[in-house]
Amino acid sequence: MAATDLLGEAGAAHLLRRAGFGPHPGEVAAFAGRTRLQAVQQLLGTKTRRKRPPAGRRSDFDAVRKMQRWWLTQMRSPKWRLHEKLALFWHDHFPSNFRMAPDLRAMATQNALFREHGLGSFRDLAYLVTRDAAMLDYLDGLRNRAENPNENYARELMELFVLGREDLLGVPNYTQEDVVELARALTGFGFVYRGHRRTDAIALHPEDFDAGVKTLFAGKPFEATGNLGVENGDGEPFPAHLNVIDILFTHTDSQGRPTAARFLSKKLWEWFAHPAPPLALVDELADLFVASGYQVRALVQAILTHDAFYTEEAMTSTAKTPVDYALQMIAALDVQTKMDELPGLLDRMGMNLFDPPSVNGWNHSEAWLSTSRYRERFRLAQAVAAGRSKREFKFQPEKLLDPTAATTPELVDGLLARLGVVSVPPATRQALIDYVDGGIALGDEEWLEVKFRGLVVLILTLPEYQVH
Amino acid sequence: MRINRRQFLKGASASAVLGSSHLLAFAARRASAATADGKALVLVNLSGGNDFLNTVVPLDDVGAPQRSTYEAARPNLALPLASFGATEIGTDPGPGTALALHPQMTGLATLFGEGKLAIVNGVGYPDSSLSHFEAEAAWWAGTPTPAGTGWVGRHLDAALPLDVTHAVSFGSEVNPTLAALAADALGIRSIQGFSLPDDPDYRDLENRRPAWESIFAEPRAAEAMAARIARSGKSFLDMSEIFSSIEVEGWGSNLDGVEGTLALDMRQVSSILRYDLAADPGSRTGLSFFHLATGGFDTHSQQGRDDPNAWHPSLLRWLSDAMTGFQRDLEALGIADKVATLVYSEFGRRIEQSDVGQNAGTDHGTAGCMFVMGDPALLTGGLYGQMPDLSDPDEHGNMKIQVDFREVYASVIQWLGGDPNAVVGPFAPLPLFK
Repeated sequence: MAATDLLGEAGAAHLLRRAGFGPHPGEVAAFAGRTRLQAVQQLLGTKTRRKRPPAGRRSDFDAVRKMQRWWLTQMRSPKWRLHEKLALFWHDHFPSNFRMAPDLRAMATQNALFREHGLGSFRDLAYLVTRDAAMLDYLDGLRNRAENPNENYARELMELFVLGREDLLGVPNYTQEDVVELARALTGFGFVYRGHRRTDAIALHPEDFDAGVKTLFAGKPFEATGNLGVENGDGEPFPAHLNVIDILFTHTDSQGRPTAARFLSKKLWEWFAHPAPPLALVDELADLFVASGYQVRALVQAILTHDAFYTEEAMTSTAKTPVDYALQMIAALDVQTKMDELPGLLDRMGMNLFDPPSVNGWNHSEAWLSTSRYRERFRLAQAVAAGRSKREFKFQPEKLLDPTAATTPELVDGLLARLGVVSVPPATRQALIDYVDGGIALGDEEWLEVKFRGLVVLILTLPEYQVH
Repeated sequence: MRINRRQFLKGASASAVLGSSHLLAFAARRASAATADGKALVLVNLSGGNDFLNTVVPLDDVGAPQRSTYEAARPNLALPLASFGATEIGTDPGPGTALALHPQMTGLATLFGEGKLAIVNGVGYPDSSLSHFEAEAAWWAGTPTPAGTGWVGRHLDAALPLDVTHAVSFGSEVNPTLAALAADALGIRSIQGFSLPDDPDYRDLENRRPAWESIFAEPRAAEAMAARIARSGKSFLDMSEIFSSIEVEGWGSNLDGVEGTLALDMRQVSSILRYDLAADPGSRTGLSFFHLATGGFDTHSQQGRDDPNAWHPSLLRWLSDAMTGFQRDLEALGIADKVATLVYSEFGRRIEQSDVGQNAGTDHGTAGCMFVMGDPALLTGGLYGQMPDLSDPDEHGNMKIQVDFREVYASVIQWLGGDPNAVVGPFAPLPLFK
């Protein structure tokens, strides 16, 4: 059984990069002797994470930066790193934007939801997001009323959140009529008012809900018709056969396979492992996901213990997100930081947390490494390698210097390994060696301060360091 | 999206290993590959789906009940007749309805009067998607079916098959319109912000550049993600040298002080074109295909009508002022006869408004307009296509398509001297270009 295989050093480093934000010093050795299953279960833990970012009524720039610093600090927690990785996945999957939220508290509430339920049931998440204030405002759910239905959230709920516009064979999963009908079923959510004062709570307002007959997926075996909705005015859920969230999960695609299970299995595989997984792998995961009752925890465990997760393809085919890029280097280099600078640098690299660019979240893959964004990675690498202040970044080269490295090639190879670079092509390795040996003659101390920091910059900007 | 580059790499392996003298070789190839006739294409993407019905507005019921249907469908959004004075643009080539641009678009109305603007109405594609992402993908690829390359990218592959790009995307991501097999387009936020970042440990910075040059020039397995990233690094190093010489401010651009981020990006395009005019061949950027995007057009609610400070009116004013300033820059530089600007959006919006009062907005729709801006030396300005009959929408209340967007793309490719059929398939060009 693959799950009982020992991780080994390469496997441990890979798991800690993908299931967290990169190994901290000493962790690769500590995890290498564990089985895949032991390691993954340790990362999953058994507890639920309940914690919300600091946020008040202010929605200004400084307040957002404060929330970002808080979240980045949470991500560095060895105990909760996988929970935070999932929270980041869900923020990307169910995006909302602080610029369009009622206030930052709504963004904090949504972020706490992803943290608490990120490893729970996908169905419950879809339901909770559907009545989440930040999402309702972002996709006009607050303006979707019986008298004037608004299709925005209904369309994205099917297209981007639960089903996908088309199935894996390119056959459309729903029609424009379905969007119209689903929008009607989702009418009526809004803020609860106490007198004239808006509270932070969301409820269904029966007077704004379209209680008429709606038909979803007309003509399909899983057609549903009746007074479809989500919950009534007392917050009680509609029965499953009338509840549109449940109905979405009964959808099967053109091959008769469970659409939502395939959709999320593929996307979560791509988040953790590599792009374009083969159909057989997607189906293996989707079957397991359905059998678990759509428990994300079960799906994540299956992915992270799978043989295909430990291949070279899985270790080198994904462009690191800016958050991964930054936090991995901070961990591996044992950098101390109060995160003062990092949120702004992440923004420049294209990943401003709580501010995804569209309802489709962030564009991944090579979109992260356009010329201008790559340039910003040079900036971060230089800021970190040169860092001498704890507020921004403090990097002490002597912590990383291996006294047993007798030659320049040994030094270069050792540092590449320490930073988790699996392999580099020969001329690239030689360029690093030439850089260390060439140029100005320096005394030992100055060498460490100038050349060693410079070598770190070169490695952090290598094409091979941008992938995992 | 995976792009197969094997074919290209096989042919160009000799130029992939350039070593320390590669900057010189790079400059020489760039100069030799610049478009012989000096033409340049600027694309402007109105991201989110522009409400073209409040951009090009019907004024009467001549030939079809356009005005009365418009007013009935949009009690809170229909622009009042009294608001138009300065922006009327003539009659629809189809039914003959009088049309006007939104009152905030006085700049474009002036250009229209000078014969420098063509408006193609009723543009879309059959069975168009109401999804932003599917519709965008279709417009970028130049086909409703996934292509892996963009329509401009395919033209570049055929016309300029070198590993040096002539295309740049403003905004930090590269727009898929420019995706080619041969050369990765640049993605830049700003010319001034494109230099090698300052390093606090500057003492050894000059020794890092040769290391980076070797690292990024080394060939890597063609399909590997790292290979694509290395190409991006190489473009960055090459261009950062050239870009440091480009003047963006203080040369008297007509876009100085114009509101909105589109104006800032268009001023960067003017600045690059101006720089290349004066630079010696070895240090030109050679950039001649520019993609700009401006967002915020997904106006599901609180769209605004004619209040200049409301959402949609502001977007349209920024668009109009930026385009006008850009055309005036081209005229001042003496290159207006070589540059065409094309404006597009993934779809138009629903005829009927959603929600009411201050909240009124519009849902996703189908047919929209395309604008082509250019000097009368290259363009025949005026109205093309026709506004779909608003009283005869499709089953979802959306406009019926009158012109396929690939007919407009074919016109552009033909103007550029390319093969429209090879790029977008068998679509007949419109008589837009001279």
